[in-house]
Amino acid sequence: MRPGRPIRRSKFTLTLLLLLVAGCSMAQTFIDEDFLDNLETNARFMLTDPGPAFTTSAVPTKWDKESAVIIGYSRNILFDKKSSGGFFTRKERSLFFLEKIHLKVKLNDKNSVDAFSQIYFRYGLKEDGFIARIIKPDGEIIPIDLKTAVGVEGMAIPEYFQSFFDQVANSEYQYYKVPVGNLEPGDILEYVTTTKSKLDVKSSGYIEFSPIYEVCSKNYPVMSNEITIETDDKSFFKSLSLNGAPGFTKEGSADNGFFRYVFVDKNRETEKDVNFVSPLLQYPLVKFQVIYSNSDQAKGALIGEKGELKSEFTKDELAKKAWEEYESVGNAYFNARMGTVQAFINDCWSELVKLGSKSLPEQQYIDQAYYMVRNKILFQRDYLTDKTFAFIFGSLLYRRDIKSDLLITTGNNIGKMKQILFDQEIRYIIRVNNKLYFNVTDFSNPGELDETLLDNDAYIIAAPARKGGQQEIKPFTLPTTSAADNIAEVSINSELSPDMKTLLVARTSTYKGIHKAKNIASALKYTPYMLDDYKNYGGYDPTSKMKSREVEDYNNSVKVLKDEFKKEKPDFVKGSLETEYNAHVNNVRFNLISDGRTQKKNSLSYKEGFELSDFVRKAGKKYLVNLAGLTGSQLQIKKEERERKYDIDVRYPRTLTWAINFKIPEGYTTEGLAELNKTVDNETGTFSIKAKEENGSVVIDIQKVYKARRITKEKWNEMLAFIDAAYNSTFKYILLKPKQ
Amino acid sequence: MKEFLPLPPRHSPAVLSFRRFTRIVFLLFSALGFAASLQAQMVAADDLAEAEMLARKYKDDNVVCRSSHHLFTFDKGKNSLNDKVVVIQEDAEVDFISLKKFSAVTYPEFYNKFIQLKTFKKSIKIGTRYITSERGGIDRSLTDENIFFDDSRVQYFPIRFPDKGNVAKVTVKKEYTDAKSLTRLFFHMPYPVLEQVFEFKVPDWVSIDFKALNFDGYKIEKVQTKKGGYTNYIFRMTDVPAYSSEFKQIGRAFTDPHIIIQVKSFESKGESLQGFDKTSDVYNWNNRLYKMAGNDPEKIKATLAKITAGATTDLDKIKAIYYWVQDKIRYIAYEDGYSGYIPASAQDVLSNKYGDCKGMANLLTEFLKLSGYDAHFTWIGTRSIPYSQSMPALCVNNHAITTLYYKGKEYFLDATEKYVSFGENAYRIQGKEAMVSNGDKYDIKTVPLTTGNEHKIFTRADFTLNNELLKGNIQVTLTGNERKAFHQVYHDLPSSSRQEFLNGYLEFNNDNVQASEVKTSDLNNREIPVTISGNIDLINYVQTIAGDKYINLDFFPKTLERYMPDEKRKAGYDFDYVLSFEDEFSLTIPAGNKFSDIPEKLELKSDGYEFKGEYVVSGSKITLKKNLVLKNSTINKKDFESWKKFLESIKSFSSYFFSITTK
Repeated sequence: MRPGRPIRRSKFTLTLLLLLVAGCSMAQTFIDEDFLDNLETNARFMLTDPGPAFTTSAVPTKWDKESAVIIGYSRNILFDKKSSGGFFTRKERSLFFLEKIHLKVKLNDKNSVDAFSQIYFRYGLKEDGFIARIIKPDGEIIPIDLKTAVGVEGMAIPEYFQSFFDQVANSEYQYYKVPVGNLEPGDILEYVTTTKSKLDVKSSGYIEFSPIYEVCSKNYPVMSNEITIETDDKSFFKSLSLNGAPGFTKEGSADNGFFRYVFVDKNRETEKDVNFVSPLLQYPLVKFQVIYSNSDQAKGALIGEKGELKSEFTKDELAKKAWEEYESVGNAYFNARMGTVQAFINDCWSELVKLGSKSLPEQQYIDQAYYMVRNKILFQRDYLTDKTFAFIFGSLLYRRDIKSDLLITTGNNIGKMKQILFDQEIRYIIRVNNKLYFNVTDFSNPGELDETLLDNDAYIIAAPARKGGQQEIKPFTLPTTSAADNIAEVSINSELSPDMKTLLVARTSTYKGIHKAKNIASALKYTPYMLDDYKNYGGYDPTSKMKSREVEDYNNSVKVLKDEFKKEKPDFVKGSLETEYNAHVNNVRFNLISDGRTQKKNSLSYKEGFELSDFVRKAGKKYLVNLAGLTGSQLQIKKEERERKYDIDVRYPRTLTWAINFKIPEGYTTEGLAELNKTVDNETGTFSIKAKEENGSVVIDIQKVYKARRITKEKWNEMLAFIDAAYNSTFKYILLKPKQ
Repeated sequence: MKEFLPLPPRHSPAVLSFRRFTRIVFLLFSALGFAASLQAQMVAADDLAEAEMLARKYKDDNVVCRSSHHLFTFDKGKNSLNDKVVVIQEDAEVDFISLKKFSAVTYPEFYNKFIQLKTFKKSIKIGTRYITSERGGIDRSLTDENIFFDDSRVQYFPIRFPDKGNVAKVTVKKEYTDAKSLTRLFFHMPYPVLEQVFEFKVPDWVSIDFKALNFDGYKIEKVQTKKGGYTNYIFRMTDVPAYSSEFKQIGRAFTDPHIIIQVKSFESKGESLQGFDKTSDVYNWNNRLYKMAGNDPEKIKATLAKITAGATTDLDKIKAIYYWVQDKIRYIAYEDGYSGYIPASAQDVLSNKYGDCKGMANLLTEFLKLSGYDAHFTWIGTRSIPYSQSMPALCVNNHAITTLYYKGKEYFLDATEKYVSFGENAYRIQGKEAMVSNGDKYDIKTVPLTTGNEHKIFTRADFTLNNELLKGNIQVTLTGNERKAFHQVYHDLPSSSRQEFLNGYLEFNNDNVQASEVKTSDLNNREIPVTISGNIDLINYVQTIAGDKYINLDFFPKTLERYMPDEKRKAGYDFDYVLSFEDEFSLTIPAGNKFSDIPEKLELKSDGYEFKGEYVVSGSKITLKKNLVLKNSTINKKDFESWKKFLESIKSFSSYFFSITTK
């Protein structure tokens, strides 16, 4: 802390430092005033010759109550004309791009004024420019002085100020921030920036720029949003508009050999944040990508022809690309110890051979290979891509002469196969004997399904019979799941503490199907499931090849790990339970019954014990107990969400059941059980609660079912019926009355 | 450009949302594989034995600092203002030992333009030898998100220990280019310290004083020896437990032992030069920097005329000026070197329409003075600082305001506090001494302290029973800081979200409350209480069981559960506010019914807090009256038992149901 410095926060506490270290920080420097003139000069032309969207300052009255309105937002990206045709002179091995951004925003209130109270610009090359100004309601224009700008590093640059090329450009550049003085509600803030980016293409004549998903709606309404991409004849452009968004159109370029693609979206409202929406499937958006290629490497790319506005790929194109990608996996880097993926496969195979796997029955070998890969990945920092997994797993099957098929598809949160636009959208699956094998996670078993790869179209693809020849492509539909497949079963035994103040709960939870996959990471956090994982593929005990000192060291390490887990787990479970019940929870215990990571015991099952004090209320000498609330907090649909604009996507159908048993305290009778009973059942889902008294206990059976993944918005009221019933039931109490 | 959406998940198991494993698992995996032997450090037998012994004592700690020794030596120099000053050099050596495998500690050193970090090295002990790392500390800016730009920085070493008994050492050399920058030293660290030593080798030409604060209850040895033109002062504390920060804890300076260093005067070439000996010395320094702001009243006159146009009385003029600065000047702070102390000129703040507290106070003072009022630039420490102005040190003040003498009264005007009305003060400066500039002299004035009753949330609701629905109307009235806090939140919201916010306010974050027809008082007037009223429905509040109805009318309980200390809690609480809640909720039931099981009255009184709650039945109407007052903003640890009982009793009272039966 600088003592005596007004309003400075204390910095000497080391805890703050730790936060800082964990989060972002900003290394700061004052701006070099030498280039301020450049900034102004280079950007001036953009203000003197603005596009039509920027000539107005009027905003439709329908948006008067919005915090701010984007009058115009324009991004123009093009190749440096001076470099056209001469990228690869002897001296210059870089590719240049010019980017122009123009933003004009009307700020209606203090919130948006605060949001734009500091603005950002990028400076790297002497050609870069930036001008920002305020337009007062009376038309007075006040330029924003950049002398007070300071450099920033290590912090995320806010939307509207980021360059398209930050990710790829090798240029030396620095972002600066500048405070915007004299900015008030009612003002218009306008800025223009032009930046030049350099991309080193020494080692590659082929560059894929990041795929962009441009969702039309922003955090403020938009009067005009324009993106212009100008490419030369060495580049390819592809885009696809979805869900009613306008698309890119191809326009003539002023320069020969250049192609111009323009996207214009107008009069766009904001979107509310609501439940059960998959944004990429439902919000209007356009996705696009630029690919530069100066060599034959482009032949294998998922691209169209030069100058073509490609927006869809045939199954032949997809299959060809996918196969080429798949074939190249072997030579890809795996890790520092192994080197390539192929070396890793060789190592796995060698271990399998030593384990006698050659002579195993086929299905047993398949499972063993899967578990071996899972075990190896368990000790890697990152998961495999599903392409790499498919290659590794397929290769290990091939070594045993087991025929497998390669399937390609796309995520069901992205769309259908015909909507694949980027390489990254292609997903890979291995099929053996009609069983699908998805990528391994730390928790998956052979054949377990992946939520994002269900109920979608796919192709089974094969290697072409000869180089460049036709591939065999068979259509395939990925399986779907039903509410009966994805299950959470919760069994609860409960009773009151002797002082009648606390509900003592013993709960056993069992998960199956995709619901298991959703919950397993949290359930197994701070459990040492990884230590014996080698047993799942019949591998060697890690200590078997260690010297005695190493064994001792390993065992000490395991002890430290287990000690830490033992310490952390109760706090973690307590936190989870408190979130689930929205109440304080005490005396937490956790016991794992089945980790769900083997085929024999593929359900996840664990027991928890805990105490809830907020679930028992007093009314004179009687007690009210919130047994139905033991389901945990249930979804509430608030009034602003009860009108539905989009169809409903619950991601996967599922069944949740709770079997609650409550021991009635001695000397008390119960009332209010019949009042709990309720059933709502319709096409979209079910909620039912049934209560009865049995052998001195209250027995309550509750079921909540989401019957289908996709539901049309017309059925929203039916969904609300069972969702509301579940929510309201959590507030129902039973009454305990003293017998005398 | 629109923020890139995440790419379609190639593979998105839920676990990817976390780091897949804890650090310790990774280390284990390394041990499983290949690199463990490379990373492991040879542990000396005596270190291992010591680690074993310490691990038994410090069961919850992974790393212990065996010794932390800081030697401060003194020299002469000049600051950037060309003043002759005392320069202090700090040489520190800090030694760590790990008590567990795979443990780690982060060691930071903070610096800025007045504190230079000359040397920062980390050494790891291999066997009996220390190997010094070539790599320097990781350097980061420490600029707070509320500060636009400053020079505060940190370098830190993450130190990892693969094994129990591993030892590491950090060596530091720092220079305080002006002794004023070395203000205070704390003994506690985020890890246990076996021996913390601050040694000062003070030459005879320096007159120094050390103020020992919060030493009571701690065993801290102070040794003073004199030898060869120097006096050595040693402060030694042993077995210092780890310090950890907790939710809403009382500031360390109120509880933890620390030393304030005060260079009172020094001699240079036969000349005696003044340091910080008396409060007036601090004032002279502050005032000198204040005068460097370079105000030009002519440049702010025209705006001032516009601000006060139409104001007919003095009070109207003063308010117009005060509110204008609150509303129009945004908080943006540049604090680089002396700009952390010298206010921006009034004309610059006006032209930029932004500034920090000094800048805003400077503009406000100049505006008022120019209008003929007796206004003064003022330094003050917020409530997070425990020191009195009688302590001559820079760490006493961390904020700047304006003091106005008007009609025989003092007004403390803080323009950084938005929507505060004239005559009210933010709680963060209440009870604090203000150093009020007055030319070459200064005044010390105390900002009056208020009680919880002046900052009230009064909620009144009247319901009728409509089958299983409680339908009614509600009015919430906010006064004092609660009113100000409401204004600050409300006016910062996007205008499109304000109605939703008002509805939400009457719904008290309770999903079973639904508000409609919401109306408010004039929210552009910061001087009147804020009232928000409307209709509300309470759903799921009526339990109909066997023909009777059971109701909990306390739909807005103040259980203050966040402040319930658990067994791990070490420090007391500082709420940073005082306030009171007053509730009056009534329910009228149809004729032919009566109330039963009425909860008993509860009344609790203590020095710092009190509660009164009762249900009153009058015919077919029952009224819940509650009053909760937090009179003090802090709860000390010694008061925890009483505080817990207080909270538990309120919670229990709030949980009761009463019943409605037919007559």
